[in-house]
Amino acid sequence: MQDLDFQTFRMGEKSWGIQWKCKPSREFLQFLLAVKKQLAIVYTAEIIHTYSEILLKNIESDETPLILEARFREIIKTTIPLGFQEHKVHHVPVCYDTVFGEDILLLADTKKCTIKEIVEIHTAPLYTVYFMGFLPGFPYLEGLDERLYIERKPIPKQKVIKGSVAIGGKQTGIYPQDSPGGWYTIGHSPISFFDVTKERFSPFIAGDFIKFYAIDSQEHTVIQEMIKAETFELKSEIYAK
Amino acid sequence: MQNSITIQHAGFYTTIQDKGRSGFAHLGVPESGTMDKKALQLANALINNLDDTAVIEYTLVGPTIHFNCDRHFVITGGITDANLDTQKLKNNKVYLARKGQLLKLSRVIEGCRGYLSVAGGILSKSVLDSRSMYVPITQDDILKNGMTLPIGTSTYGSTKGARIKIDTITEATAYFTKQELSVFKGPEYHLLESIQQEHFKEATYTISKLWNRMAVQLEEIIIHTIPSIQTGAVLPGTVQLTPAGRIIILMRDCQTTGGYPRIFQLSEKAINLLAQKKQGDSVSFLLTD
Repeated sequence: MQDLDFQTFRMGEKSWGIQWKCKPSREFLQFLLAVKKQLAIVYTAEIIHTYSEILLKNIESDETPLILEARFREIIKTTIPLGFQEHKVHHVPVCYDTVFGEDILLLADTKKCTIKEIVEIHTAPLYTVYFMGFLPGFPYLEGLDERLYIERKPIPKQKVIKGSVAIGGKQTGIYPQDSPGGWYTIGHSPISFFDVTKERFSPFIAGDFIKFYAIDSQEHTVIQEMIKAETFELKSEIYAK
Repeated sequence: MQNSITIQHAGFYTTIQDKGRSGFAHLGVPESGTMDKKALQLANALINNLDDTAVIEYTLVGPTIHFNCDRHFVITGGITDANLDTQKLKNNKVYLARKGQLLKLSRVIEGCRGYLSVAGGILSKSVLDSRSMYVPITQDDILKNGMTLPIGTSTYGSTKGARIKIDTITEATAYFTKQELSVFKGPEYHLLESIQQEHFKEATYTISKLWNRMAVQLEEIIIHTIPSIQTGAVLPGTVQLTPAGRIIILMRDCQTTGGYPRIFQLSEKAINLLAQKKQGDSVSFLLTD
């Protein structure tokens, strides 16, 4: 796909943004990644994307705003789709036990369904890692079933623990570290999702897939022990259509 | 043994900072770095350090530091009540501390954040190309009593003409006394009603008790009907308007994405100025776009 319905905007002295109006989708993400790649060839900048925006941080360019905008337009117009990209599917274990998922009962009550049904709905999709933000290694995931949409809590909780799997608005994600947070905690993963001592700080990159699978509290403990002993490896394979 | 300094008393909120991290925003890693970049630049220039050399940033009440070797140092940023043993010190002037001497940085009298740069710089562990403290990137979030910090090799005085002198405090610190933050329009500025846009031109705002390295929240509330946005990119200096009408100005340790409308973007100069403001101080917005 190619979407030419966009606007450019300025963020202070050194940064420029490009904003589209469309809804996030896997197809659009592929387009964003292709545009990013193209922009990186032309400009020296830190280029990041979110749902429907690209930001060029600290862009090194002497061009006037008008010329910059025209060149962005030209680059986006001539962007070639990336074609088939090799992306991984990561299988992430989650314990949905109420000990960890302290809000899962509340969610079940609100949605008038059972915990079992919530687990089924939450583990069914193949989520897309859209981008990372909010906290180091926090993945914004696309693909939450709309039956689990829920308004964020009016008052954020002071401490959501590291590894918490949560739902907020139309989104689901994993907290890679302890943090205040306004999302509903429905489970916990024993995996470490951001570690600067590892060769790859985060197991995920934008465009990868995540599949959650349910584990009980015993399995959770076992995996925790294996992680301590460095014998656990996150299961992942190359995505095949 | 390597040359070092020891933190005897850490002060109110004291950290190691440099220019911060770039190139890791796609992983959600904040920029960090000194709140006041102008003071960092001056501190390192005065002592002939490279401009990215790590310094100590302190807030309102500074640390007491024991020198374990002879070393030149300089204090910039907030005007600080400082003593080297019994000698009273001035900002923006290079001094030589002898091994065993005690540098006491007490109250910040004017401004809010002070910077100590030692010749050769602080050589704490660099993580993701920066020594700026931010958990969980670095192990510690603040300096604690008793910590000993390795320092690099001094190049002070080694280059001809490297010494810069600043005779008047006003020259280097005049910017703190201002209250006008020069801003550009943010991507959601146009969602404000014209009456609100006018209001921002006129009004003066007060810094609330929520002010830290991540963000500065203002006291005043803006009644509005702008909805939250789809999560977008934010930067240090982004001014957000929450659904409850709170104005939040993001600072150096801010997250990389956010879902509140971004009404303004502070100029680099304005971020440095705001870094020198504290609870109760007044600020206003001057739209330069």
